[in-house]
Amino acid sequence: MNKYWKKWTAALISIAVLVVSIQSVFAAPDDVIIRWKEGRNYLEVNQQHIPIQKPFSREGTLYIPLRSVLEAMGAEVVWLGDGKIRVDFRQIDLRIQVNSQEVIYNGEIQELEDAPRMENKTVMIPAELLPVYFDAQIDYNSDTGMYTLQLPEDGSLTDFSFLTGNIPARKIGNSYYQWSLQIPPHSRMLNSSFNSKEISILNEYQGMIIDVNVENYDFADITELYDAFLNFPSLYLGSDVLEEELCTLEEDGGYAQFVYADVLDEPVCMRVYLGEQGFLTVAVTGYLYNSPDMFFESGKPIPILDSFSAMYDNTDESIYEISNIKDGMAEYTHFMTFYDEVRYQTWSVLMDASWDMLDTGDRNPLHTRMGTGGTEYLDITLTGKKPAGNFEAYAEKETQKLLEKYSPLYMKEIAVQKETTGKVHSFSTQCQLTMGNTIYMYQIRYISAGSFIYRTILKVPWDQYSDQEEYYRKIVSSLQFQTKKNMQMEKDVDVYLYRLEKSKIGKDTTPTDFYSPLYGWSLQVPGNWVAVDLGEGDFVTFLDDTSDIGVFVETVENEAPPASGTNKEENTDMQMFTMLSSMMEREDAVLLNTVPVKEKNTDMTQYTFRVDNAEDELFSDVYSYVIHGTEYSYCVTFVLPDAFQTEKNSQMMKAIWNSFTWTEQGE
Amino acid sequence: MKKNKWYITAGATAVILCLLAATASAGVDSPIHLVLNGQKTDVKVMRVGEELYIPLKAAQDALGATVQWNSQSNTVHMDVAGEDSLPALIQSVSPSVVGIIGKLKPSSTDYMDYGDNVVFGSGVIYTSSGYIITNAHVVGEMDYITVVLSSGKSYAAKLKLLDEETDLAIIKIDKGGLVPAKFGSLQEIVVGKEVVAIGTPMSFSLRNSASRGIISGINRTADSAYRYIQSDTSINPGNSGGPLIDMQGNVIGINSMKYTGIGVEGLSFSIPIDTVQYVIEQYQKYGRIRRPFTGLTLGESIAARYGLPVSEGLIVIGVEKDSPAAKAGIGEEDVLHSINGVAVNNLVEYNEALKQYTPGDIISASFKRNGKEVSVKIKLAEAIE
Repeated sequence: MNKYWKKWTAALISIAVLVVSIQSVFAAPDDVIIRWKEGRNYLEVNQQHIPIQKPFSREGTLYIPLRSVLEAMGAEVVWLGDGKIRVDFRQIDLRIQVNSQEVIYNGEIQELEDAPRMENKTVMIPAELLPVYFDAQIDYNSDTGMYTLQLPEDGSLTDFSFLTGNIPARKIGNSYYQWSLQIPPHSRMLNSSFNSKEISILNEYQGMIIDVNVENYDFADITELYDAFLNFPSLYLGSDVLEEELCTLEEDGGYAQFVYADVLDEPVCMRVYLGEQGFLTVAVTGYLYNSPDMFFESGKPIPILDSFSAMYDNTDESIYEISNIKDGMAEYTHFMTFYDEVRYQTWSVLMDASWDMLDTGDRNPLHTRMGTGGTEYLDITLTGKKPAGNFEAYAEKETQKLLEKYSPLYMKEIAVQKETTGKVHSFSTQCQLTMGNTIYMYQIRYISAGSFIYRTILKVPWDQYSDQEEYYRKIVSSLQFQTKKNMQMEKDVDVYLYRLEKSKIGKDTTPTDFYSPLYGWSLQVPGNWVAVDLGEGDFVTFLDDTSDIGVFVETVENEAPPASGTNKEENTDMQMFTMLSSMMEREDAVLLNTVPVKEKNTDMTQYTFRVDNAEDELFSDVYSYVIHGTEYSYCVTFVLPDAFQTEKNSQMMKAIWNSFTWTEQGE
Repeated sequence: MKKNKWYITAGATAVILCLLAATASAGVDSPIHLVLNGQKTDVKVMRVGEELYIPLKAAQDALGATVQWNSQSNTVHMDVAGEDSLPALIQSVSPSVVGIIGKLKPSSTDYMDYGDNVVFGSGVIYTSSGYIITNAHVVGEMDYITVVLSSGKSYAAKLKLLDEETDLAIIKIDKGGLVPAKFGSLQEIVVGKEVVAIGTPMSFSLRNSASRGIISGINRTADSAYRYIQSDTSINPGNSGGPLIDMQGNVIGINSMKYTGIGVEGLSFSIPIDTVQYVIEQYQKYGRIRRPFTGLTLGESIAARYGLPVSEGLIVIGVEKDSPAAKAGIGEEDVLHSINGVAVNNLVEYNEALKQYTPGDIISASFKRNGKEVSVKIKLAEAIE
């Protein structure tokens, strides 16, 4: 991973371009001077003559041709029809109506002393309009009768920080994560994560990168962290080159200091503080130095690190605020990426800055989950292209398809709401979901936006939702979808969905045969399930992707035929099957019982586990059947979570078990 | 209205210039022909007394010279293009050439999380009030579009039109008193003619960013819907959107890097001035491109796809339901041969032919159906972007 290389070289390449393009400002007499005379049929614009409708005076008001004069100034004049005109100039939007004294200036209705009028099919405006609305200066020379118009500002740009990312201050602070820092002059922002949790600042002149990150390390305090970092530098610092004598624990200062060379062999001086919202790391990389100790002794990084404060309280006005967080919310814009080649901007949301889970769909580009974990999240999934016909009927049908999998004891429908905002229609269903001992608010929302249908699921503990309903509503309603048609994106989505459909075993819920040619077993699962091979055919998982129901088949080749009549299964089975050993290792699982059973005319062992895990959203009994054949042993496991315990689902699981066969099965 | 300088144009001159003293005698009554570089021309040579005269216009065309008539001083200025005149030529055009710089949109494929995503190109000022033409691929993915004038001053620009079909875009800066470029005409685009491509004219890099070459052809390029000027000027990424000028300083094309490929050398493409003017005129009239729509999906013959000269026409492979073509009774397997008498044998020719019309116009298209010529009137609709 050459993150740092990418960081500063990319920046340096573009700096070269900027130097050429922007710093070459030299004075040029390019101010616009516009001159006219009453009764004369041309304008003088920087000595060029432009033919115009003659300016004239009427009842003491000087009228000049609107389009000619304003366009000469550099404005855009658009005829909207019916005597309406729009003038667009820098930050000014002026709407004019011929023969009306009313104008609209940046959305505000104002009145002119004299109305614009038509003269020979040309709109003539009172000249006084220019100083009033466009800040233009008009001088009149009574000797020559010449009017001269000039603009005090030529509108050119002087600040290019929007391009270069230059930070206009030496002292910067992130009030949300409560840190502040003094940076070298002429530093610029290299990157900031949407929630300002990770900030990279580059200073080309000193050859340094300053990274301030908020990390959720699982340590009780700085001392514990210091010991762990020193013992496992490659794990925590990505480095084996640690200058141990320069690494210190300053308990009084509340920080641990590490001096090391990173994965790219670039020297880094880093301090870690324990802040209010996790550990704060401030790292200075000196990419022009050869070794960590040389960089440390250069005197460059230490003043920066010394200036760091993990207790910034946002009261110092001289500190430049660098965080993007407003009122505890961060705007996240989602880009859907297919095969790392194309990025499509699909939606944006205002999300709680403290939410530290953001799964942006590495496995499924159509799906994103954000929140604090399995008990509080917002899922956003693009489900496909908008179908023909009534959206509400479609959304209702899809919602019912989702809900019917659940047991009514665990999932209760509470209310349905329909909404339309602009081009976006939504259909949402509020439910109560019971998992373990907690009741959750579970909101399923189908949204029609542009060419696509999206589904959002908001899951929050019911009490928490009731207390902060407004807050959750704000998050959900802040979702903005891209509605502009994009043919390429539609195509890519189609291809992805086609592949997803292809990955299913069969069609619909029709029981479909699955045969393992390597190990000789077979079973029948619903066609809309997906089979995932976690090994080389020896560990196959069958999943229903719209519920948490699953079946696992693990096969192990017997080293020697098991001695008949012995009862060693309990011990050997646990060692033999990954499924069983991993269940035994889970802290959230208990083995309820182990019973020998005779099923399918075969002696086998049935293990029953119980798993309770709110974070993994799994509350379920887990049944495993272990069968020992001559050549192979099989462990067939069934997971049917409580929430999906319906008669139909139980029958389906029974049917799958009934369909399971293997080569040496007793008749 | 009296102008200080007057550019001599075709058919407008009565001024004659003494070129050479004639010693050889020619028959007074028989016409005298000018043979230039072995090529017989239509230029009429006049004989007055012992001297032979040719029209100034002919000298301008033959020598690639710029001729100016100053009525106040009663002098004719004639600048013959050559090595020494190039810097002056570039200097005269550069106030109309701008650099365009901005940031890549985060939605762009090339956007990098670490990197400042600064991208740039060139453009050509075409009105003194700040309208600039450039390539769609320069500004299409750009945020904070910023225009840098040859004076070095920078201005925020607004995107006014983006037309990916022609790869042209119009942006605007709110600044008056600018120097618009002079546009040439399609007739001036002749194979072999010397041209100069200018890119981001940033002070010291000005000379480096101009490159000279000749027009190699007026061709199609891979995947393009319209004709392109092919030249051997070296067009670099920063030149995209900049002008291709002739030796009189007229813009005859907008340089586009879009269609060059790896391993291709001496092949640069520019969008011809007529396409540029088409886009500008459409924008000025309607604020967008009103592109005619027939509803026909046409297929080229294999030979046409290889770029071979063919006269096989275009095969109708689809007709959109309720479209103008459907209403005109055109069916699949009909073969389109011409539009209002202009032959169309490949898709570029078809698009170029349609470019002459606006939605609402009625065109007469001639098809071959079952071996018979059929002429069909089609009322053009508007293409939905």
